[in-house]
Amino acid sequence: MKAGIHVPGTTRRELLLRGALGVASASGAAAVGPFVASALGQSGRIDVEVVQLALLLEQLEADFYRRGLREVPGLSAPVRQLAREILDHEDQHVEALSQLAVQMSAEAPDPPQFDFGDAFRSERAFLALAQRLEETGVSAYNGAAPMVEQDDVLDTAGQIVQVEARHAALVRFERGEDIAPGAFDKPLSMSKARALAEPYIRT
Amino acid sequence: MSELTRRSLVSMAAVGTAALAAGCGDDSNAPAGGTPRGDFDIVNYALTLEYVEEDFYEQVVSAGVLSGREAALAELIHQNETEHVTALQDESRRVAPGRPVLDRPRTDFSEVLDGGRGEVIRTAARLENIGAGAYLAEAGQIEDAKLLAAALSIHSVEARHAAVLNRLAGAPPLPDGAFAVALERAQVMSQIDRYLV
Repeated sequence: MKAGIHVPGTTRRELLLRGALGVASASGAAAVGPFVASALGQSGRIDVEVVQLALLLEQLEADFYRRGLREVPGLSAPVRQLAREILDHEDQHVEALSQLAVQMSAEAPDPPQFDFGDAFRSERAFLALAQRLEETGVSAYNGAAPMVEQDDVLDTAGQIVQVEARHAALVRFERGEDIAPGAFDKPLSMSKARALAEPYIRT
Repeated sequence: MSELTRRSLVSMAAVGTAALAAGCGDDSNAPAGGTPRGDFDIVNYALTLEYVEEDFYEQVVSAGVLSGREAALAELIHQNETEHVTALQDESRRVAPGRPVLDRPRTDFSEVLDGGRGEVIRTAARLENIGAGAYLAEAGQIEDAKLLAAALSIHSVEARHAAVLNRLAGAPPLPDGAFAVALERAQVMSQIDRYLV
């Protein structure tokens, strides 16, 4: 990790280190001690938090589609096809984020028990909650990404958020809604994203 | 605790770099597809793509090539692209005060419009997939936290457009599967060039 200090390069880790050290030399190391300490810290705690929250949201989505496909009565063919494709993606996201957590020497918790209330009573209710979950995913990734320190975490978040946004739009289209709520997707703080997931977690 | 994030560190570094770079005569007229990175350069590149998209939908809407739900969709997307242009022009002034905001390029979509509904939808889908891939490739290079947040909030909207247009074009809505693929500038510009006059 410390190679970044000596070897000029283009990774964000190196930029981060050089930035912190540059500020340190410019304004006095004492003033920026905490920044440098943070930059030099073991793999960022924020990154672990981002990955673990993302994992929870993906587990939530995967369970939602898996059960919806089994339980919703009379799903139409296009909705069934869409739900299957989305489920396949969410499963891959869970897998990738679990691996990322393990690489960071962090825990990749098993999914908790989820409860989706009466969302499986009809296709209509299923799609309504699908939209809400996808939108939460998009906003959560967009809100968390700027805080991420590590390249591979940021890359993965970017690759996934684009897919979540595509899901959100396709679900909206299926429901006859505008495909985007506005020209800019609003970011969500991690605590707000977690709060939006809470009601579906059985305690 | 936001002071402790990577972004604020990178932003501080950028201020230092900018101070060093001032007077080095870097070329503000460099083409948007050029290699040197930096937030101003990235804004110009994104602005180029948004100008092209905005122009395209403006022509599609005024030519009346689409009807029903597709026409309404083109109007919605046009409105989104106009807002992206305005936001990026503002970002340009913010990240590089005193430097000129990129001019709108001239575009020609007459062949696409002549091709009718099918060609228009396919082109729209292509532009949106390119846009989404381009933002994904640039995001990691952005230093300024606000600019990154803006780019991310636009990136996912481009992705929404792309998915639905792909579907309308009869193409897979998620061509890359579970993980979107970034598109580098050379690939992007080689596909956009044909529409620039």
